[in-house]
Amino acid sequence: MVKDKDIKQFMLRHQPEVKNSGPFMKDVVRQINAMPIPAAMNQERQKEDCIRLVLEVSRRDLRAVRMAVGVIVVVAILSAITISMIPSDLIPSFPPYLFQFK
Amino acid sequence: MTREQFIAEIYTLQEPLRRFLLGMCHGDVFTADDIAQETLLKAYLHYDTFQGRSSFSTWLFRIGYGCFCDHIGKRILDTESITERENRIPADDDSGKDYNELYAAIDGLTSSEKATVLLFYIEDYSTKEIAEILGMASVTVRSHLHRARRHLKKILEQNGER
Repeated sequence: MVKDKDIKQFMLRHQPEVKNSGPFMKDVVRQINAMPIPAAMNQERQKEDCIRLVLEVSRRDLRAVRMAVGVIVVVAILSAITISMIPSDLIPSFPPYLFQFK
Repeated sequence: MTREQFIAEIYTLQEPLRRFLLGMCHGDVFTADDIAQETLLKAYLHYDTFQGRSSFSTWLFRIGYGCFCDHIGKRILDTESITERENRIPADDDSGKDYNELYAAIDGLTSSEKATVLLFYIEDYSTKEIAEILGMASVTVRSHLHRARRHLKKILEQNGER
């Protein structure tokens, strides 16, 4: 018979793992610093617009970073494939004395 | 409260908030963090409305749940479970999702039942605090908890969990 205690244990054992708290907070602090002082906005509409704008800029930055990382990965893979296709005869071999350390 | 004081206040609360939203979003990290950011910005701009009747964390979680409902569409979630919703709406991006046993176990629950069990068992909130966060009566929270417990017991018995 499963008891309440078992449910709690199960939930705690499988609870979602939160990662990257540092970068997340860094992002939030940057967004808060980009905001005007709350007292300067007295209308709900202004606040909503402000949040939307800041989040839009943040999401655009994030998309740009992800795209840049993706491009770097693709370039690295293509470079590795290209290098592996170069016939080994064309690669100058190192003279054997280089490997004879004493 | 100054900007610096607010930031210091949310430093300790961002992790439980993100964990709760991650559970609500089925492990979709990108969506959960997006909602968490919106929550924290809303809290910052609306801090003057915080009257101190509940704790700051309860108030923050309430905003977080509101943002989640806005994001997903409260009407859909209140009437059907996540499984039904996912069957109805084709998932366009599952890249950030991480499936684990917890998500599978709470899959058949409605969003408010899911929020209730996550807040009760993982974040250790009382039924009164959960009622404040979800904006419903305590008796409704207890009824959600009862139904969710019955569902989870069935799942755990099937899986042979003790």
